Amino acid sequence: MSLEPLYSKVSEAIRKAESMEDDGDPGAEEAYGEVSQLEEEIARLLPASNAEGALARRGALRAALAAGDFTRAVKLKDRYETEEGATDELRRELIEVWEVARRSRASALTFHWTLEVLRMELTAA
Amino acid sequence: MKLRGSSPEMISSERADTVEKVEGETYDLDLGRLSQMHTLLPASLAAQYEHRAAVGLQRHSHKPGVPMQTCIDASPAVARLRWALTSLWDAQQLDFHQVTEDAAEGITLALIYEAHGWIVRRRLQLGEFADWLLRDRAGTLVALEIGGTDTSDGDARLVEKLKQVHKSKFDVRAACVVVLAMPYATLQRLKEVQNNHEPGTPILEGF
Repeated sequence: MSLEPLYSKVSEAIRKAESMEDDGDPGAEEAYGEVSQLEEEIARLLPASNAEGALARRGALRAALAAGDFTRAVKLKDRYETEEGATDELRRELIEVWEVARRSRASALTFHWTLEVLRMELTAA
Repeated sequence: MKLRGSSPEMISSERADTVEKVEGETYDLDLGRLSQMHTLLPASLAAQYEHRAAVGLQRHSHKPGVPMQTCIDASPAVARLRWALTSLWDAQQLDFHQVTEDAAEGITLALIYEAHGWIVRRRLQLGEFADWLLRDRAGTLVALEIGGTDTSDGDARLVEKLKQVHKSKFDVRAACVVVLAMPYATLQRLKEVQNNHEPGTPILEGF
């Protein structure tokens, strides 16, 4: 899919997720998962050095965290930090997105990180 | 300020009975044309904005053709708001504040198109410090934050919104606040102070 239809879709998906979150709808996390997928698709079409490309990368990570999908969030963050063309500014912004989510969802992320560290240690062993 | 369709002749004759006389420059803001103005705005969202703007305006007893005072980068003008009449009875189940916010979004998206030729690129997520990413006529990206209120002080709300959008990562940033009771809309761009001031200090363009 080209960029413009994806922009329409992501606008609609963001509105839907925000609305569900405001209503306390339990489906909001799933809706944010869809936002993250769309942002990732947009990110594939735009270089990391481009303002809209950087926005899509922040968006994919931010929505994955809002969806509570920490495994996906870790993968996206690692990929976007190390990909070709990623600027220092984008790396800082991705950390900022992560930190904001960590502060608001501290316990869930701490639990996830503990599992991740254990997994890495087991893999290394 | 250059406005599209700023001629009073653009006011449609079939709706002339609802039009009050106003002084000064006027232009039309037809909320039924949001989809044509902003081709990347999802049609369902454009329809929702028009409906909720209708509800938000009609609950203050406004009718299509109502004059709306506007202040765009400190230049005053008058816009005629156009929409399809709706039933307030059917809208009773809608959240009052959500209607105010959505009405403000719809009116603002029409205003920025007519006033500046800005068009929607995409919606921004919470955390980007703005609601919409737009593109101006030169292709420059613009971050826009929108606020709506029924009766309270629009200027105070505008300052709050400008402070928020100042944190956005895009070079051109703007905020718009709509007060439905009057109705009134104020749109303001931020400009960085270049010299003799602390870097990054926002000022209001046009002041």
